[in-house]
Amino acid sequence: MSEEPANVEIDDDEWLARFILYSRWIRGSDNTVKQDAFIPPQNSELSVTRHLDLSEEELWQAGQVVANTRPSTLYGRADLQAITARNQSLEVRAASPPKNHAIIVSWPNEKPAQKIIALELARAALYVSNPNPA
Amino acid sequence: MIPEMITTAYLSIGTNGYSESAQFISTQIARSQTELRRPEFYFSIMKKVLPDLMAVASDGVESGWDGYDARPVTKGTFDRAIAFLESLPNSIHTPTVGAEPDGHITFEWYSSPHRLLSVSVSPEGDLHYAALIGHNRAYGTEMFFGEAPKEILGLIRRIDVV
Repeated sequence: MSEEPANVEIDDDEWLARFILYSRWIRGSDNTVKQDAFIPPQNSELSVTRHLDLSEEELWQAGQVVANTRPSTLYGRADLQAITARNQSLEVRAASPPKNHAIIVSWPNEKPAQKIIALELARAALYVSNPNPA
Repeated sequence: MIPEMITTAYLSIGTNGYSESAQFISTQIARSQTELRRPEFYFSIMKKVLPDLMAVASDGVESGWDGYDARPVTKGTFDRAIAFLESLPNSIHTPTVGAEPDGHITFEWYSSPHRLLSVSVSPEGDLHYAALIGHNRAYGTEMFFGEAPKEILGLIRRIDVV
């Protein structure tokens, strides 16, 4: 019997998605994401979704669930591997539910230090547009 | 038109020399001529950015505007962002505007993923910045007292926005 994703340690090469629900986080000029998308919220837990065992369609469905809670438009997702965050001295932890939810934590308290890390995450991230925007 | 007169006056300055220095000066003058011909040179940054800034303030009026747990963008932050914009010289390139999940308003000067500057305006009026310029990184906080901090102006000029 397989373990629930919540109990499976996140490998360094595992892909994580940060869903983009705010159009100003995307640079139209070259289809990349701004660092704004990776700045942690007040609780210092940056939400991401693990690609683990999800088909492309299921991954977009997970993003749509996030979008529907607002409700807002799911513009796309910024994908990055867990090792990218860990290389910035951040921790990546599974945090289900919802299924495949994870959080990026251990952010420095100082805003400039958060920004330079967010810049590095955004630079490494691959932006994928939603093929079926609402 | 006044802009045309300024351009013409500026264009009259030149050099016919062939030395390395003369060539350098000619190149610099040619660059300045190109810059002066850009229509946006004559309009303040405020006029160009204000509509986007107002849209960001409007987008971020409620908690969770990013679909997650974002804090709202407050009027105080908006007012301080306006003051920062007003302090910028018209000769610099226009930034794009955004907002961060902690409710800060951002201005970004972007040339490439390896050459960019992001400045966050906090509700308290602090300016937090981070820049990637090739292999170099710069980040820090400057207090804003009505004048654009030299450190940030210097970084903006190094980005060379395309």
